[in-house]
Amino acid sequence: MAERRTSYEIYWEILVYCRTPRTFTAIIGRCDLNSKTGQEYLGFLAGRGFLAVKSDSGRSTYIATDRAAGYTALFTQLYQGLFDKGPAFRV
Amino acid sequence: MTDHTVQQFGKELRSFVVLILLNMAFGALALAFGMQIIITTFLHYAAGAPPSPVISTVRILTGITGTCIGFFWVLVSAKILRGLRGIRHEYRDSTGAGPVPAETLTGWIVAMVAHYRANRTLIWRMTFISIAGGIFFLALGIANLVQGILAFPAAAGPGFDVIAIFGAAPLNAGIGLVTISFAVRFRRYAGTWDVRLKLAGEGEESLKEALESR
Repeated sequence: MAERRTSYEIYWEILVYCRTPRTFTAIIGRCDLNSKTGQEYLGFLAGRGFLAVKSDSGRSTYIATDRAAGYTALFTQLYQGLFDKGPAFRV
Repeated sequence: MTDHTVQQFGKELRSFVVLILLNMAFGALALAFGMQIIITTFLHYAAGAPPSPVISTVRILTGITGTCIGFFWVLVSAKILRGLRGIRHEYRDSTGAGPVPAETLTGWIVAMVAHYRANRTLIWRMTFISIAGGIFFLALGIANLVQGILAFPAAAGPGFDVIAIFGAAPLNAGIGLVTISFAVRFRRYAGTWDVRLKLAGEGEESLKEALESR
């Protein structure tokens, strides 16, 4: 999705995708980020304890921690609420 | 909550896609009518029976206006539709395969929010193009009516030309009114999403707190 996403939306995508261990290349590919912004986002989430970095046979992978569940749940509630509580559109 | 939201999401997605497809169809009609007006004016010249210079100029300008409106109408509609392709495919594939997980639904909503954010100006522009298209068709309908009234006394009776002109008048006017109703619906869509963007923006504060809490 190369559309205009906010950083909060990108954090959510990364955290949901990293429920199973993922490599840096897989994350930036899936979340449509370039290397530089990918490093920034992953660095932020790892620094805040939302992502843990593991090394398996010389390969680094990222996995979402328990803290990430709180953020993804809040995000899901907020965005689904846009359809549940907000105005509706019909032709 | 998810099932209801999936249904609501699906209804809105379908409604919006139908609206865009109808817009494309009416845009193509405006393009075709515009070109037809230009071509028939030149055919009159080729046949050696040119209309007066004033009428020719008005016809050609009307034709060019219709062609331009139709062209941009189709172009903008196609651009908006292209942005929805991925979401539509994912939605179609997932809804047929059992209950939709909450994350999948949220992903679609994020995609729609991002799509609207990226195309907001274009969608608002579309409402104005639809209004311009509606006015173009209404004007054509009124012109047909005037043309028919002017031609009627000159004709020996209600010949094919006069019937065709009187038949075209309600058709064009009808298309104009339907087109204007599209513009109203586009405005409603844009209004709904503007409120949602605002709500999402307001929610960012709590997301920020969740990210920054230790």
